[in-house]
Amino acid sequence: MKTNSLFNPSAQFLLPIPFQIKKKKVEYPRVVSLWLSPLGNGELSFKPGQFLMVYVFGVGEVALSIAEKDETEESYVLTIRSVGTVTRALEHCKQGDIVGIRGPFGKGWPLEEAVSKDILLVAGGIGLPPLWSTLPFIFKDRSNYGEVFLLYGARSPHDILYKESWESLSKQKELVLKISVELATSRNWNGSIGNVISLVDSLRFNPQSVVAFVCGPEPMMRFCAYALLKRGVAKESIYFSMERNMRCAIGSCGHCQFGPLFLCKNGPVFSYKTIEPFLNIPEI
Amino acid sequence: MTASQFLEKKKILQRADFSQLIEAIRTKGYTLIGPVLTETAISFGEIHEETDLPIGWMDIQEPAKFQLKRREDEALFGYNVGFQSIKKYLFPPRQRLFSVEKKQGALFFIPEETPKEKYAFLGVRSCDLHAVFVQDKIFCKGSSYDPLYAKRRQEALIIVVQCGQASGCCFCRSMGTGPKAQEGFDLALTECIDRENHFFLVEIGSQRGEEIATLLPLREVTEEDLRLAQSHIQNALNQMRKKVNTESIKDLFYNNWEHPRWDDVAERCIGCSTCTMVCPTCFCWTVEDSSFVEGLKAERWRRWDFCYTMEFSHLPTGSVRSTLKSRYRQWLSHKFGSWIDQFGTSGCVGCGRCITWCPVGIDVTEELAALREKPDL
Ligand SMILES: Cc1cc2nc3c(=O)[nH]c(=O)nc-3n(C[C@H](O)[C@H](O)[C@H](O)COP(=O)(O)OP(=O)(O)OC[C@H]3O[C@@H](n4cnc5c(N)ncnc54)[C@H](O)[C@@H]3O)c2cc1C
Ligand code: SF4
Ligand code: SF4
Ligand code: FES
Repeated sequence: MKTNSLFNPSAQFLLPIPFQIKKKKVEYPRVVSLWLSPLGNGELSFKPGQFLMVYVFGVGEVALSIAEKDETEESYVLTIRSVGTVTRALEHCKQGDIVGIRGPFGKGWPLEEAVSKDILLVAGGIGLPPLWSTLPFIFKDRSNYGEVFLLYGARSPHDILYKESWESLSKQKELVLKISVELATSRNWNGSIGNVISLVDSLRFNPQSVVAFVCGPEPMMRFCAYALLKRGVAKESIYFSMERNMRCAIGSCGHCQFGPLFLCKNGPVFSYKTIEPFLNIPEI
Repeated sequence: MTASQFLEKKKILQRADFSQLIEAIRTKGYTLIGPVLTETAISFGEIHEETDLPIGWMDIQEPAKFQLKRREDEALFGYNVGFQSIKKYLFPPRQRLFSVEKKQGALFFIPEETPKEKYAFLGVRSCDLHAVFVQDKIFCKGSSYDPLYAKRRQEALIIVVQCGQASGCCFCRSMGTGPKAQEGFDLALTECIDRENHFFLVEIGSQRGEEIATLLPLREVTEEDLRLAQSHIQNALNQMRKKVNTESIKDLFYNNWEHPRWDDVAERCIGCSTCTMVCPTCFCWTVEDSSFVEGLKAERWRRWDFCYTMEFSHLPTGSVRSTLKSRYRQWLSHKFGSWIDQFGTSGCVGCGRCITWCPVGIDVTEELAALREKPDL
């Protein structure tokens, strides 16, 4: 290695840039959406499925998927489930607060793979935001694709994200939408009850010509893949967005390793074919 | 001039003139780091004069054992590798990443200043030089480019000392990293001692090395000098007992995620992280955040992290690697296996530190050999 040319003084290393919280919405208890807007010129160009590292002053930094770009508010929407130190701090942020942003990072969903095929989006719980971000990209070039299915599984009717959008979405002829909840009574829910995987079995799609994007808890994604494989979908056509501990998002800190893969830079989206050798190894 | 042309340049420095080398390095403005004696071991520390070196000492290394012993001669570099490598200087155990100030609700992120240190490393062994090459692949390239490392690395003057002995834990030959360093140094010294002579064969590896060399009273090399230097390195080869079979070593792991040996080693390993702490290539880190001055200033620091801890793979749903078995497997399979897929090189340079310093004497070369045995199922 030539050592006299190693140093690049203009490289910004792990340094966030400030974004302001323009709007905040409680989706359901312990889950909030934040609208983040750059101060100055902080336009982010992102691919659906990519994520940001969000820094809270003095508290820490976490990986969060970009759920959508809200053009009218000129902001990026993140949806956060409060589960620990940093996400709790974000849950309690107020409109006007400033956070630090790095990114976007990672490889997003390979929409190009889906051209002239059916698209199957399967989300479990807080796995919805990264899939939500694909919708505007799909609708923009809707004629590029065949049928588009969105399957979403939530715990209960109270735990449904983006409630205000579903009605208009369900009227869209260009999208087949199915939501199922695990816990409900006939009084508060008249849709399907049960696991999101059961929705997969009832769908009519062409297994030879479909691309599936799946995000949710790891066991849910695995069962979803088994259901799809059983229908004859190829391993190469099933994609997961994976989750591991992350500190840096640039392939430096070592935390997100999954076998030889760094989730942050090689993923978080992987084809089932790529990760299959490691998925069934406990504690890899 | 190309590196290979420099490598043609060999000269002799007499033992009596050695202090002039230290002098020359220091007058060039370097902070000189080299081997020093600690109470019970050898480590790297600052060198002001030649008497700071462990003159006349040698080390005896076995699994879970490091012992200092007086030598019969007054060799300056008559020992192998100490507790830590020069990693702690190029990639410090703690490093601030940025500070941030809060003014009227707004945040101002202040990047860390470019490191000013200009280090010269004396007494770097071939294995440790190769460990620097391994870390270069992580921190000087691609998305994980680290300007703090790159700056220190670019400034660093590296003076290798070729090995004339091998410890009971060395296996650089198996890893293709030694005992002789061929290139990538500024200067390389081979310390030669016979009845009436004590001198250093000096190999010049770079322009920077040449600039130091011109300040020294060097004489031309004779055939006899070269023979003596050669026998010195041959001696290290002859003493090296530990071996690793590296053939298809990636597959050794990829085909053996389940193997009885993982349970066996998990019974012995106490998860203390010492092996990762002493390893010259381990690069994992984590962050610490703090705020102070009445909540108006905060800092983010990075510090070395170790895959032996539960927190390393923490998720809100629990640790991904909750068993010691999975954590030992992560370390060994990463170091010798998946590292090759990630960075095109092994993560092990055969320095033997993890064997010497493991409090329970776990020996990676034995673990690897045992994994090659067909498990009786
Ligand atoms: C690519 C990616 C996208 C994500 N997108 C979203 C999203 O859109 N919405 C959402 O609610 N959550 C998302 N997560 C999960 C979110 O990052 C974790 O819930 C969050 O890091 C927990 O941090 P904490 O400090 O609140 O929890 P603690 O349990 O206090 O964790 C401490 C620290 O460990 C690390 N850590 C813990 N859990 C995770 C984790 N799951 N992933 C990465 N690092 C972790 C973080 O550095 C965290 O600060 C995503 C994770 C990944 C990897
Ligand atoms: S794994 Fe052990 S022998 Fe190999 S470089 Fe690390 S400390 Fe040295
Ligand atoms: S192998 Fe030895 S040094 Fe490494 S964590 Fe286990 S007990 Fe500690
Ligand atoms: S998050 Fe640090 S290596 Fe991937």
